[in-house]
Amino acid sequence: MIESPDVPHATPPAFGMCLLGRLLPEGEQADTKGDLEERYQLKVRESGAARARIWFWYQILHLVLYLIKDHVLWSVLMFKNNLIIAWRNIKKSKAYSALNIFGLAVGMAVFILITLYVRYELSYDRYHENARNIYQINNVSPGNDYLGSNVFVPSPGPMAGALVRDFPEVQAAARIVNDGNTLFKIGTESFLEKAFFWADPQLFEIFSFPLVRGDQASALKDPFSILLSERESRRFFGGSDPIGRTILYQAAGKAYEFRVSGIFRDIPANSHFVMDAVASFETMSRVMDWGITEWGSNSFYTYLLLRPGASAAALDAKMPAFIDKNGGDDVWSVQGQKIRYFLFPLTRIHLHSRGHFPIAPTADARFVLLFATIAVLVLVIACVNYMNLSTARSLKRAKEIGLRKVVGAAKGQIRRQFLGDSMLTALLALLAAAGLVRAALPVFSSFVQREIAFNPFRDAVLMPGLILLALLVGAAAGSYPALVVSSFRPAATLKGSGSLRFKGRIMRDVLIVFQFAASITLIICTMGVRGQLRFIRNADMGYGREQILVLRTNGGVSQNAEAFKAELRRNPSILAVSASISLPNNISSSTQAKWPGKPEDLQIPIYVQEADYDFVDLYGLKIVQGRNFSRSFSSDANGAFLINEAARKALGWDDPLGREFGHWGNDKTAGRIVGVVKDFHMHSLHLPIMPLYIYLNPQKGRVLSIKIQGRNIPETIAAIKRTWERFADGYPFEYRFFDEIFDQAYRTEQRLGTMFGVFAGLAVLIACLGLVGLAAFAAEQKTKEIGIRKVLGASSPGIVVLISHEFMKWVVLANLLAWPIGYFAMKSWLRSFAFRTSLTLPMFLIAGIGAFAIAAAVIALQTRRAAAANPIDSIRYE
Amino acid sequence: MILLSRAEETVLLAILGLGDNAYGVSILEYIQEKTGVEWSLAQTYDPLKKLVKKGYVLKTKGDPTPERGGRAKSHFRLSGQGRQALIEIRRVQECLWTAVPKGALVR
Repeated sequence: MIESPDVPHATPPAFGMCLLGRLLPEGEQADTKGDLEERYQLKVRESGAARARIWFWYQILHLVLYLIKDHVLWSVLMFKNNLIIAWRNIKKSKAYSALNIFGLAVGMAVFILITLYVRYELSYDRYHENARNIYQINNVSPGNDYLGSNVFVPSPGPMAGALVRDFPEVQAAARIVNDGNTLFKIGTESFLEKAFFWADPQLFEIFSFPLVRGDQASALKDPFSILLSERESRRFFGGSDPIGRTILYQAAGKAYEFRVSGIFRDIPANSHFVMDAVASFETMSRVMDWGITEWGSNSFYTYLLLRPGASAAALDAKMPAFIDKNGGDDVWSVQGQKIRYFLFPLTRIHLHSRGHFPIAPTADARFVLLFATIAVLVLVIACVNYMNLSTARSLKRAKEIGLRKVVGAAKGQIRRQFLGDSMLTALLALLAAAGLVRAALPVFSSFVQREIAFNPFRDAVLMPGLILLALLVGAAAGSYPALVVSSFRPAATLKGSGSLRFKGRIMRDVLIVFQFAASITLIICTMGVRGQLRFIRNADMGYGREQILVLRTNGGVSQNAEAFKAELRRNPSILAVSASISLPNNISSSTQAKWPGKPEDLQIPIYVQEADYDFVDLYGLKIVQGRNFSRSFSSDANGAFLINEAARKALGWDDPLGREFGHWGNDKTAGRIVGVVKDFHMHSLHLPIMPLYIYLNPQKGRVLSIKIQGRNIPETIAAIKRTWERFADGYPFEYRFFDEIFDQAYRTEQRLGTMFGVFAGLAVLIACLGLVGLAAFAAEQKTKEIGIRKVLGASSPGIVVLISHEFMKWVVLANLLAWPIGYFAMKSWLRSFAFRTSLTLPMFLIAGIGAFAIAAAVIALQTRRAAAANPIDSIRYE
Repeated sequence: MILLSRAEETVLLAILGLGDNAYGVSILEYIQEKTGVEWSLAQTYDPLKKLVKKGYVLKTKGDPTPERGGRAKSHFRLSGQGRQALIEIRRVQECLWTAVPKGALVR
């Protein structure tokens, strides 16, 4: 080497050296770095610093490439080897692998289904471009405690316009309201439209409802123009061009011609309201008087779009002053407290809106959360199952592990091998789970009442998500077996299995307890919910539910209601007909009780029913004081009231008969109280019975109840239909049975019951799969012990008990854990009912003994063969 | 028969030729000088590592020098096995070459 002291020492780029320090193993660092630096000096002297640097980086690149090649080559080789071993293991013990894969698959399928559902629920209204800046105006009425809450969704008509005028941060605001069942006539045909709305043109600015025909800027601007969804346009006009066609709309006996001016794309099902036809508020004001200029009536839904960056909280704070300024004294107030309006974010409406009178029914976030919790629980049970089975099973592979260790496998490598094992199992389980999901999707969709799709190949998130799920499940389920297995001592394992004790014993028992505790808790919840449902079904509601047909009058039928009713009564199969404004199980109108001479400070909220003479008799309500409405008292026709016992108590009138009373919160008398009806459940059993009055009003009721005879129901219905068609001028005949409507009020509870039942079943199934594997394994481990015991005189049942006992004590312990958990869970759920069943000991006993019996049966079946084996074979076995 | 890759054989021959002065840089330079082919450091390390693993080459720690940034260098020298391997390879090569008819390669 030529030493030239006049040339200073050149250090190679520090970053490159540092990189090498990171990448190279400790032993090679000094050599490589030294060589590089020495050679670098030479290069600098020969061809200058710039060339030397290029050379340096070229060397680094080469070194790194070699390193990568080396690493990849070996990991691929090991991976391939591990994969082969894992696959051989799966094939070697088919039954056991099937148990393992099936258990995981069920857990994953449940998890996938519920995740799809939860994702769908969370996706509501998020497709709007401005979703984050859209709000709905809700209000809270202090003191107006209605059906257990005082939040309401509708708002007054002038609100939207005033918001845009007064607040620069409000970019746009629009009103919308559903017109219920509307009959459209197109040519000679009639169509019932259930999703017809009146709305302001700004609706199309706020929401992303793209038009496929027509012009967005002028949409809804012209009076008497109407926009249809694509599917509705197809229904009305088939394939022909809908633009410019006329639709006949009838209101208050007059007909109006609407012209189709645009077609919007079908509104996705994950929207908090779905409209199929819409005309403008301007048009509505020309057709009917709905009080759209009144601040005092909350009848419409107001949406607003805030400018980006504007704060909803700041606007909330300005609302009271804004309401005072614009609405003044007209604004609704209850007991002197004005109602308070506030902004509710669009994306929260579907799951979190608790307000009364929503634009369309919403869902309950708690239900979704409960669902998700149970999904995770079932998945965890499945993972636990895997852990148990493969840990126990790994003893079989002790020799393999021992040998691997002897030839130099590190703990980490063994651990990785077993993790790879469980990931492969999880991936296989994923395939099975995908099949299960596909099979269960239709049933599940109808259960949650959503159109849920499962297209892993078309969904950008789903496929990676599924694979990630499999890998996570594999990692979670495989981590514990890997830990146990990698700590096997090679000497002990190779000497023979006799001296090897199963180390994961405590963990295994904990896992069994967990599985069964979770299963039993779910069974208890199922029984609790079922118990309450049975209680609801058998409870005396105070009214009859059987053989009552319910119609909603429309068109000609509501105009000639008396004639229609009279016509029906002529049919001998029809026992009674009554019209009312609401059904006895859902009386939703409420007001403040008022009467002449009422003390100013006395406030009694009271629910309102208006019905005709036959209502009380038809539903079998009992009169406890006074008399029913009667045609033979001519004074009744001038105004008469019935009140319930709760009202009698709230009013403090021991003898209310003959008292004058006001209607709809009016001080002036509208008639006299003629009787008191026995309290009946006019709301769901969640709520206590509240004060109620029934006002005699034969004309107003649009809900028709028809009590029919139990015989020949189809003929009776056909007769009613014929009568309907003579009166209804085009409205289709739609009826429902009252007991169906009644049951529907408890839909959530029924779904909850079904859900708990299904999941409890799955949890027990998976837990039993685990037991099958564990018991089989325990029997196998004890082959010799069993043989010797039998030689010494043990009986086969005795052997079964011996093996079962090891597991059954943990199932008993699981019961002790599950009972208090189930008790408190059900106790808190039942607290949401004002009228509820009590939790009884048999519920817990059945859950506990049931789980115990299933577990015992599974173990007994599994160990029976081992117990029955000839001791000669088992002792000789090696 | 002893099987070595071409790179391993080259490095082994370089170490033999260098005698007592065989270490990373000198091996690299020796190969370049004698054959005129440019090698990267990584290209010499890879066969070196394998030769050490197979026991053909022995590795000893030397003294640190300033031009290496104060780092020690590892010296390499042939083991008996390494010599044996080279002899064997040479024998095989020569046998095969002598068996080739004259002028066969040129044509």
